[in-house]
Amino acid sequence: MRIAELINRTTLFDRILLVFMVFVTGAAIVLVPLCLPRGGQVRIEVDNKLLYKLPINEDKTIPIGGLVVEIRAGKVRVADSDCPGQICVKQGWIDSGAIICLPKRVVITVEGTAAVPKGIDATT
Amino acid sequence: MQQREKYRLALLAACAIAMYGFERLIPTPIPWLRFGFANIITLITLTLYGFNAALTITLIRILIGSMLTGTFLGPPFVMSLVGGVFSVAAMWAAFRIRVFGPLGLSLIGAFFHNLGQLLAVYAVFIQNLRSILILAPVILFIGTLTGVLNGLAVIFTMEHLKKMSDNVQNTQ
Amino acid sequence: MKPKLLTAAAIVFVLALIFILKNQLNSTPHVYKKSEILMDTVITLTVVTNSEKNADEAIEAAFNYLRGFERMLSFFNAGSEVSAINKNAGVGPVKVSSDTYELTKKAVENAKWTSGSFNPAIGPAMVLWDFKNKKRPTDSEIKKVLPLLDYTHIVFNDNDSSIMLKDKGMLLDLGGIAKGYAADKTAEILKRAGMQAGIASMAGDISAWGTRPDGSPWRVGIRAPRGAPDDLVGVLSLKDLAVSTAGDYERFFIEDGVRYHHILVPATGYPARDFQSVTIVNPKGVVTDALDTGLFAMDREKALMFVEKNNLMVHFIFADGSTFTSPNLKGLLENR
Repeated sequence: MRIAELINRTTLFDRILLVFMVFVTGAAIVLVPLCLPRGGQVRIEVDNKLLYKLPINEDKTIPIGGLVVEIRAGKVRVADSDCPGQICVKQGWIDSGAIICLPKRVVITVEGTAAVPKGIDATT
Repeated sequence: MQQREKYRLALLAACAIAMYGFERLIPTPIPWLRFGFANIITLITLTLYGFNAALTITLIRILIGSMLTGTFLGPPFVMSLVGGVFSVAAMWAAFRIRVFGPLGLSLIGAFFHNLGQLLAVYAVFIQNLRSILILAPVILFIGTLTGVLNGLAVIFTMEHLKKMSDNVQNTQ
Repeated sequence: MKPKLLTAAAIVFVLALIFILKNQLNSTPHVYKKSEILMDTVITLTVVTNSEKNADEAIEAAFNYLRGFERMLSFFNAGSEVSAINKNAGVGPVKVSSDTYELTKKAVENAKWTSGSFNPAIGPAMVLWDFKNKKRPTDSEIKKVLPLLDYTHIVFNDNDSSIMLKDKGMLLDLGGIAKGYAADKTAEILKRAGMQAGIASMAGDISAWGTRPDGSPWRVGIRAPRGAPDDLVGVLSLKDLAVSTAGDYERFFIEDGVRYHHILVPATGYPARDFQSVTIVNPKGVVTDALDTGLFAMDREKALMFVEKNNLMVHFIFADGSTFTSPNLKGLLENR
């Protein structure tokens, strides 16, 4: 039995439903990422220039001039740094906000995870 | 229940479990992502023998299947159970209005199976609408794809069954 | 119903659904945040708005302004207006942009207010200290530059907005006030771009306006001077207020058990000794930034008197670790 014959056995409503489902699926694929407030992305900027934009849920380790940035299990950290302060390394894993290494002029920001309302907005 | 009917249900349930076992051999990128080939059997049963029979073999399939794979009463079991019941109920409702063929029913079944699973996940395990929203396109896509494949498989099988029973009747 | 009609109805239904969903997600204001490294520090802009596009545009405009600001005002950048003024010290006046002129004027105003405890002419003493390489100057080196720290020798000419330093060797250093001024200006730019609320944070100098999306005030932590970088001594709830903190932990080195940090007493040329940190809250960032340094450089009694006289909102951590919170700040401060 050929595929064409199989398709001939479908009813009109089958086909309408199929078109409808394909349409909804397409719409969802296009629109859901748009609707979500920036899906979890890790931005790595050096000298205020965007170097990487990576999804936070893909595990990865990237060396950036003296720093080692590690993305794992929806979190990001600076695994190693050759800077004297080691502030960025001490900060550990984050899943929102930013890690900033001033001496290396590296800014690692996590976008898309909604701001936590009970946290601290800034530090003086 | 007549003995004959019991045998038939047992046979169909065995087929469904076989399908279920078979599809577990096919590797998929996401562990819980399945083709739902067992739905072919469920849908044939529903068309030929009605709601009760379809629900029975679905429940047997989920129960035995989960015991075979060691997930009995675990999260995948709850998800399958809710999804399976949703799917059978939705297909039965659609079948009763008599405008859909196997393809449409299969699409509806796949969709409601996923919907049921998501509801179970949401109600029992994680109250995170956001992650469910992220999954929605993937689930819709897979549901539509497997819905079409299974629907075509049902049409194919039904045609064969018809021919076979015609042959049987002709030879008698 | 005809199939075509049904399909059309289905499409309309789906479109309506998508439209509603998208509106739903867009109508609630979100918090957008971006950090850049400028002026040797981390600048973080936070805005509340319901459109990502507007937020991006406003933040970009603000950072553009700040990049220009950095070029104009940097003490170290040879091409900056401040460098031009310093090169022409004792030579002649230098015409400057309105930002530089206004800021320098404000700096001198605050210097007068604090009787020179905040001093924009601190440059000659500042360059003697090398905090990176942990080198401190000798007494005689410091004594030599003290006469050059006279802020009354900064001469303004309103007619052509030019600035002149009277004596050769004077150095204008706006580092103690520029970030607070920048925070004010940046907040203004973001407000004008339609951002209903936000925070302009130039490291320790913060200007906050409006509220968080849930209507609660912004929460700004005060760093613990001797703890880890994310240890806080308290949290301020701010709405349409600016805050600055001066601390002896920002740039310093320790030699023979003595901490040498970057907040110098203009009268002596040596680091101030009475505080670990000074936090001040005021509607104007330019005021908070000048006064945190100004108060830090005073001695304890004088600072407390100054605060009382001017009814300032402050939180002090003294050198011995004890603290003082002015009564008018107590309602905004939650101790940790």
